[in-house]
Parts: sequence; structure tokens; C-alpha cells
Amino acid sequence: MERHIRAVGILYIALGALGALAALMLFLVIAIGLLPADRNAVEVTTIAGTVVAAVLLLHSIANIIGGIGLLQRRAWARPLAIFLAALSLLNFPLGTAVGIYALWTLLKPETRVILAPRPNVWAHLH
Amino acid sequence: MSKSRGMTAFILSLSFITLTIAACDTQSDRHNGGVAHSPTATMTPAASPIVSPTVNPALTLSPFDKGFMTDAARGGLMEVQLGNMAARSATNNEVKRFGQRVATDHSQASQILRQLASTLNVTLPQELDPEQRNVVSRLQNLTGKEFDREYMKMMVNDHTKDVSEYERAASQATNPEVKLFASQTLPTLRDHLKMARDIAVKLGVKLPQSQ
Repeated sequence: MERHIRAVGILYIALGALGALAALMLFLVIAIGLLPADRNAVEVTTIAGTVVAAVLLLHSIANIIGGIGLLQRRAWARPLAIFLAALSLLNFPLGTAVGIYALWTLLKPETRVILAPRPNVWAHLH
Repeated sequence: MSKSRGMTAFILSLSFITLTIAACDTQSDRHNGGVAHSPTATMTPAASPIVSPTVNPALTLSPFDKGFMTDAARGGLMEVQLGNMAARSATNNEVKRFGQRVATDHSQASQILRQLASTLNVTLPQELDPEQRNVVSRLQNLTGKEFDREYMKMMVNDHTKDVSEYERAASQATNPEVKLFASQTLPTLRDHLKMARDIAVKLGVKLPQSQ
């Protein structure tokens, strides 16, 4: 299970980095005004583009944080990673595949023990 | 047409994940540096050439290494104490034998770890922390079959986490001696985990399926 947790962590960081790059590119495109010259269209596209880029950037940062947390075996990383995996199921095809694999790994009882703080392990995770 | 393109992309994604897992595997094999893992290996100090005269290990000791050594020492103290308690108080003979084996193996491992720590100038905990003492006193209050089941359940969970932490240290520790200690101790911990699971199942302890 150790290598699966590590693989999920690496995948999250890789996807987060790609998403962050895409968000920054989008911000750049909006900033340098490569969008249509029509004033109304520019306004609408700028607002929509900024919102999309901001959401994408936040999601990517969360992915990177979750990935690092998993690699460092932090207890908080598991619920965050499960939430992100559920979200990424909607992102067909790469996100769906990663989401299925991440959920399979993170929902295993063994993963729960590995990522739980030691006192919770002694208390049988109650 | 677009449906089949979507499926192709999905399959390509799965291949990407498989490659990532394979890469993780290869990396951890490389990190282990060809250290042979005998399933019957025991943690004898003589079998572990911990100190190398050619390396200045203190130079390569990372916070991760220190954290691992501290956690391993603290965990070892607890395993020895609980193992001795099981050897005395368990009603089931297999649990008694398991407790004895755990106490002996972890005493040996702790001895090696303390030698390593003194070479590396790392201060290790000498006694249980308050949370560990709570666990010990909770077990002390149990008797008979209840003690056996609770102890074995705890051992399954504890060794699952131990194996994961030692695997991580065996592949990610910066200091070669710490890495060697982790990889040489792993076979014994895996052995303990397997024994603990077998005994727990025999005692009717309900374990999650993949454990």
C-alpha cells in the first residue's frame, strides 16, 4: 500500500502542477488581451476567464498540498485527497482514472491506519 | 467516434497511472540498494554493520531521519513493554509466544538503534510518553480473552503503520546507516505483522478485509 500512497501523492502533485500552469497561462492570455477585440466580448470573457483561472488555480494548489501531505503521511491529507478524488472523477478521462485509483487507495483500511496519527492507531481508530 | 476517442484517452490515462506506480516501485527498489531481505532475518546487533568508518553520517542526517529514529525508539519502548505484558498476562499460548517474540525482537532493534543514535549524536526518548502510558494502563485493566483480543488488534494496527514507516525510511532516509537499519528491520516487522494477523483471525478479532 506504501507505493500506492506514494503514487497517488506524485500524481496529485503532477496534476496540480499542470493545472496551475494552465491557470497561469489563462491569466496571462487575459492580461495581454489576446481575446476578441469586441469590447463587450472582452469584458465578459475577461470576467469568466478570471473566475475559471482562479478556480483552476485553487484546485491545483489544493492538489499539490494534498499530494505533499500524502507523501509526508500527514493525517489531514487523507480527507483532503478523498474530496479532491471525488471532484476529479468528473474530469474525464485523466481525472476520472486518477480519481478511481486515488479512491481505491485512500479508502483501503490499511491506508487509513497508515495515515492515522499513532494514538488513533492504538485506540483502533475510534 | 468521440466516444471511442474518450475511451482511448481513458485507457491512456490508466496506462499513465500504471507507469507512475511502476516508477515508484523501481525507485524504491533502487533506494534499497540491493539489501537482501530474508523473511526469517532477525534483528541481531552482530548482523547489522551499522557504523561505517568512511562516512561522516552526522553530515547527512536529515530532519526526516531524526524523526524516524525518535518515532522508532518510542514505538520500540512501547512494543517491548506491551510484549512483556502479553507474555505475562495473556491467556492464549500463541498470544504469549507472540508477545515474547515481539519483546525480544524489539529489544534487539532498540539496542541497535541506540548505538546508531549515539554515533549520530541523536537523543532518543528513554521512556513512554503520556499517550503511550494511557494505552499501557488501558491494557493493564483488561484480563483473559478480552486482553488477548485487544492486544492482538492493537498489534495488527501498530505493525501495519510500523511497516509503512520503515518502508518509507528504507527508501527515503538521507543517512545510509539509518536507511540500512530500516531495511534490515523490515523483514522482522513484516513477520510480526503476518503473525499478528494470523493470531488475531484465530481469536475471532474482526479485521478489515485488506488487513
